[in-house]
Amino acid sequence: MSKPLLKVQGLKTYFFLERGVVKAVDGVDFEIKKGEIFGVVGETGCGKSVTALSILRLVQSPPGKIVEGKIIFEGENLLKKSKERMRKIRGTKISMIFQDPHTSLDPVFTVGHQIAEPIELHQVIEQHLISADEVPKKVIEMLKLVKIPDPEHRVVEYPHQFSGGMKQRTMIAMMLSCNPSLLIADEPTTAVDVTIQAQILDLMRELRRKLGTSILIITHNLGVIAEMCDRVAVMYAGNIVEQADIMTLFESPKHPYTRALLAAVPKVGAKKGELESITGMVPSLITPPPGCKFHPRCPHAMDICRKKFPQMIKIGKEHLVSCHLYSGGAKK
Amino acid sequence: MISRAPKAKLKVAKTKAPATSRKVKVSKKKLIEVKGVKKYFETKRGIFARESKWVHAVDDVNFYIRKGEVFGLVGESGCGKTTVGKLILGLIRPTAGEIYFDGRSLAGFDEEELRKLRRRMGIIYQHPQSSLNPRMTVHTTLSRPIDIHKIAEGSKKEEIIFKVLEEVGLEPQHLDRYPHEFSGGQQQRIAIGRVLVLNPEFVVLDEPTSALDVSVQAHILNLLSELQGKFGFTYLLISHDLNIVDHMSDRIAVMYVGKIVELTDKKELRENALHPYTRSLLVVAPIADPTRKRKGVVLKGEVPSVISPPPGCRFHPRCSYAKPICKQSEPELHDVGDGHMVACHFVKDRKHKWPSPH
Repeated sequence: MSKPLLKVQGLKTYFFLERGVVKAVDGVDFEIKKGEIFGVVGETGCGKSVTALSILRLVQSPPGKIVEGKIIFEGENLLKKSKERMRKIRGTKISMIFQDPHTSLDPVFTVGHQIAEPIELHQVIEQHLISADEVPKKVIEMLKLVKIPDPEHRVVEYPHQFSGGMKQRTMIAMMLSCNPSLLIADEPTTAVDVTIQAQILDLMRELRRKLGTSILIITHNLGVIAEMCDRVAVMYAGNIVEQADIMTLFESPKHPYTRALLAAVPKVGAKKGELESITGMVPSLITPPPGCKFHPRCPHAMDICRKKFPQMIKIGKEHLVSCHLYSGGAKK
Repeated sequence: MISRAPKAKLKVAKTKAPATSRKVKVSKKKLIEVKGVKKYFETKRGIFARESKWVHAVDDVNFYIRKGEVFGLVGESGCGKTTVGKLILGLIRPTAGEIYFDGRSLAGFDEEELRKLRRRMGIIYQHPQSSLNPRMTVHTTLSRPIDIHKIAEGSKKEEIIFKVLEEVGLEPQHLDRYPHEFSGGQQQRIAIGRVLVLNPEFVVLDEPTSALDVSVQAHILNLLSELQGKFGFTYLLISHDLNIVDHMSDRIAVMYVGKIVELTDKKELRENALHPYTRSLLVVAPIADPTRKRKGVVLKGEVPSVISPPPGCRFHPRCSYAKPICKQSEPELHDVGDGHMVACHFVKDRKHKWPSPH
């Protein structure tokens, strides 16, 4: 758990629209170690999904474009790869599961057919790892791995015969079929109920343990982050504002946004009172406020916050924060 | 997403008295009473399916809500919680059973009378995007209920609208705008305003913040508590999120596949949940605290079909304590002491201890 598997450096992904340039991801740096579960948390429109799509180079272009940065995966810059090479990396090395399993499975093909497709494509045709006859066996093996009951019979069923939880398991099976070293999960449990959510999270944790897959989880749910991740980055308006190991982030959050976000979540058993809330709204990504993007809503905003963008500074072993409160002078 | 919201910043008025010292007196009077209510929906008959099937959305549900109380209804999708809300508002009629509002049975009302009665009730839906009419300005949206119920006219009406606007944290210049010009949180404020203009006694909150971000959710929950404190509303809060229900409610009912499986006050539910389903819900509810280790079992399997629910206790296929009796007979919701109601064959006493799960 030490060597970085993925390194994202200075990533900027902009969308060029008629009414202006949307700076969805505006300079993001982080790395994911081997076997680590890394979380990116933030509210709607903070750029967390676009970050994930950028890693796989799946940002729709036009209007989207990765304008700057490096994405180093296993020592190589993904942004320099050809389209063909990138297609091979997707699915074999990095795969992604999406929020809504109902729309990510094709309704007219059986579940087995859909799991078989990436195996045939990548493992049989491209890499000759297994022969075509072995594919059905491998498909059933994958369904067993994600704990679909009675996989021999269910493999010939269609997605509509599966429940939401089973569909999400199927997606995970499909994504793991080629042993990727990185799994990107974009809001993997947002569309399912809490009891099913717990099952899916348990499954992902178990797979990490068994297969050593690194996982990047993108979510708005701080509860999911607390339960799953080793390290976490908090995003706001296209930037990471704070990054730390999970205990540090929840126990001593430093950035005013992180603190406000944590205070805004109601918890079972917490003393009933008013929830803390953040005044104002998420800024426009076309004309973000100058300086620190959070300053119009920040209770600690100083003069410098309106003028200068705060650089990321290291304040602990794994703890990074982008806030002027911690850059020398002013202390809080 | 690009923020298209208007520039005007919303300042949330800090409540002077925090919600902890909420002064709404919960009276003994029962405002809502639900007695043996069932609601079955017929599934569509196709070319091949000759016989129609029935969706047992709500199946023999009993509870009451006191005046001034916040009653939470929690459960997973398809458990019938939204149907209960609609039944109480008289938006749909029950298949069996009676619902009383302020001592009078809704069954005795015809449509016209129900409409009049609904002046005293309101509902706030999950998606303000779809519950607000996109072609109506905020002003029209807020004045419609006043016109329909003939509450006020002319300057008196404007007075009500301005007052409500202030209560929900919007400003007069917002009145001529359309719903799409607002952010999700502001749209929900408009929806709350639309309920507020009638000054109702009872409001159903059906997943009021599920479509919102956490920071906006906090605004809306605070606003709802504040309004309740000010106007003495009675709330039925429907949500899948135990954290929210626990934060807002006085008493909580847990539903599973059309039935209430446990009903008690909030503190008791949190500290002494007795039904195995409630206990596992408490285990799996994600909590933003990495030091908390999950204690207990994660439920296996999935929520059963509401068309053919399992016989006996509906939870038995997923319950780790299930015995043969659970398959054969259905447990009644019964009082196990201090008004703590549980529907489980094995729980006879508030002090019941389950053996620790394997």
